Amino acid sequence: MKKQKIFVLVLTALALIVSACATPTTEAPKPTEAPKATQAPAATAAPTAVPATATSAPPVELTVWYPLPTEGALKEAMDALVVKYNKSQSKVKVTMVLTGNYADNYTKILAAAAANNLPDAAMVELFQIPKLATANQVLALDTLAKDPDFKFDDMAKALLGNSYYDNKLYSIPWQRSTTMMFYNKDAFKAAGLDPAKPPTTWEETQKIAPKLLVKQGETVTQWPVMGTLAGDWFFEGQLTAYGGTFLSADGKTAAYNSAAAVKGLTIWNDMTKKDKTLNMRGGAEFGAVTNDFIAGKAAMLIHSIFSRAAIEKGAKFDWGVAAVPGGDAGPALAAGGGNFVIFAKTTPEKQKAAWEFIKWMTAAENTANYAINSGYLPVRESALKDPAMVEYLGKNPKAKDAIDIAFKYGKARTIHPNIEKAILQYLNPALQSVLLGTEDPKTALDAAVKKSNDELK
Amino acid sequence: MSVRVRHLKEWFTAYALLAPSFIGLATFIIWPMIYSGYLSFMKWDFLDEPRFAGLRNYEKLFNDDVLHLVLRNTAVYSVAVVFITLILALGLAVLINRDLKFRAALRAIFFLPVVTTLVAVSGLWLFIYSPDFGLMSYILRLFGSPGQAWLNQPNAALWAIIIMMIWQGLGYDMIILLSGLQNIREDLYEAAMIDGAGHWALFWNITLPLLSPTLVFLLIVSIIQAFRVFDPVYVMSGGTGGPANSTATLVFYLYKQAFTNQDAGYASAIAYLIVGIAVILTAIQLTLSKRWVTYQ
Repeated sequence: MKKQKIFVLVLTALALIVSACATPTTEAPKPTEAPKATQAPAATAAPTAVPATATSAPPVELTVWYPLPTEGALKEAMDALVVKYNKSQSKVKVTMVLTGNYADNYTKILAAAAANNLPDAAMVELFQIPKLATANQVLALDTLAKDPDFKFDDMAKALLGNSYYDNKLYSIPWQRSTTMMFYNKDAFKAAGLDPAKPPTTWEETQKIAPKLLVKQGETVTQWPVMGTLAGDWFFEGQLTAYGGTFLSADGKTAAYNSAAAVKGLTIWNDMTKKDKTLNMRGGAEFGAVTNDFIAGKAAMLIHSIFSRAAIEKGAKFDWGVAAVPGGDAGPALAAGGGNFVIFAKTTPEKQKAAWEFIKWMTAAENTANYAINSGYLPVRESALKDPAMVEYLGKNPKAKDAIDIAFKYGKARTIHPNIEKAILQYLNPALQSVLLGTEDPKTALDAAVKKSNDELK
Repeated sequence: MSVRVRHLKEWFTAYALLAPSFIGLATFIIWPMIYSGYLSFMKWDFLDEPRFAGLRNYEKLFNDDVLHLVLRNTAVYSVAVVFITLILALGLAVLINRDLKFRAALRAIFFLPVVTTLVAVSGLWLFIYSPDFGLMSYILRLFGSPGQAWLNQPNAALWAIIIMMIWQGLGYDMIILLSGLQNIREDLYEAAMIDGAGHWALFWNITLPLLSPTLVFLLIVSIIQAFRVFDPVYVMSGGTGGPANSTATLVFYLYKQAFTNQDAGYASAIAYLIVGIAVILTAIQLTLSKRWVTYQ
């Protein structure tokens, strides 16, 4: 009887200890320790022999969080680069932690910020940067960027727009994309259209679309245009192409119900509902539409520059890359993807180390390597002259077309710290209720702008 | 050992054994609830310092159109899923509750969806609902209608998710109802049949009343569970809440306000709204169950 009681009490004591250890700490900041999100990535940054130097100070350990839209090839490319970096020098050791997609990554960052447990650096989606900047969570990089080694002027101009907030540089471009159009040249030929001249405006597209519509009885076997356009990314491109903006010039009122906006939205809506030449797909089908294009179900696909690699691999027809048709103000390809930021609350030593890491990653050779392996854009002009890149572009002329078009027509996205709360949460449902539902463009946009303005006050 | 010492020892053992659970409860449930209540009176974006906002978040609950749509979505979802599943499961349970040869196999088959992970279930149903390749469109085409993308249509998206969740929950309700059915004494049926009662009369006068404890239990549990739905909404809508917020439910909207809009204060107010609704629902059900439940 006595033995049993002692046993029970010992078990209880153990359970208490274990449960006490398991409770999350919400107090003291531990910026140097890896966050709880660290799991497998330890295997990736496993540099073995670091050459011992005469003055061997231990390497500065960095934790960098990053998101990917999909794993697979992207993660391999990233891991390979990080391993290479860690091996190439002994001053900095980087542990790169994959946190999920852009939204998951940001949620983790918010939670870590609240717990004062942020990593040293991270990659974040473009429109997440202004908020982090106003909250003083990320470092302004203007002084660091003056580093002659960094060669700031070599950075691709088209990609720098979203690196700034309030005229200060807060981030460095890394994995960048733009919207892009892919078109089936064989389908154009069969319709009697010149495959070398895809439409450059939506008015033109609307006119030629009926020729590209192929039906079998009542079922459409080839759509003239296909895309997941009922979202803010594609719509911002459309709006810019017609000369409009999300926000007024002073940033105080929403402007996405302007005449330009209504015009841009109406032509998409007409093509979808009246002409029935635009196959408007839902956001969740972002991946599926590329497969449909590869299977020959669409003559023109409005998508991300990113799908070029998949189309390259799978398409069994002659195809081409072109800028998404524009409006009254010419083509405009909305920028997308993520930039590197350095967190302000980590130690100055780690900030310097993070800068060295970013410098290395964005060096011509390495950004070229990532661009080749991932399908994202290289972030430096000189990366286009990197030997591996030149060889790759020689073998894949369409990749070169895509990069040229992206640099030429790429447009930065609207910058505002409360863009989600003030704009996107009202704009997206409005777009969906028009393009996927039955609402009238002007009514829907006006209603959404009214809510946005209430929020912006 | 004196009585007093033994008493103390027993108390000590009792509390010591309760301690781990209590610590877990306090840390993961009680503390967050208190903190959330505090946050509901603040304005906080996770990055800056929280600032006092008085009752503004609660005012917003009344003025937010989207929240009203979300409440409607949640109500439609809950009522549809709970009642349709319960009725179908009752029918199935009654049918299976005989000396069927393959009764065990049938039970297993119906229960499989319940234990299948959400990732697999949503993958399956995303495929079924695919406008070009999916089973749903195929069946519709057999009836002459063109392939539909239900998940993209503001009117149909919520029902697409409701159907999926009915399919998944059917087995659970059925198993519970089956065990309830098996607790009904056989001789009640025999006596009634001797008196000339038909199938429907048996069901209405014996089965249903004696099944009422089980039914009410399932009703309470299912409605509370349905009100808290998040995962299927998140996965099937790709994290967006459906076209034009048509599949956004309360918990999903709370998540969106907290982590996408970075409005922890408003999200906390919504959390307390959910608590308020749950309390009211439970109170209603408890009073009604006193009237409806018959025990043997």
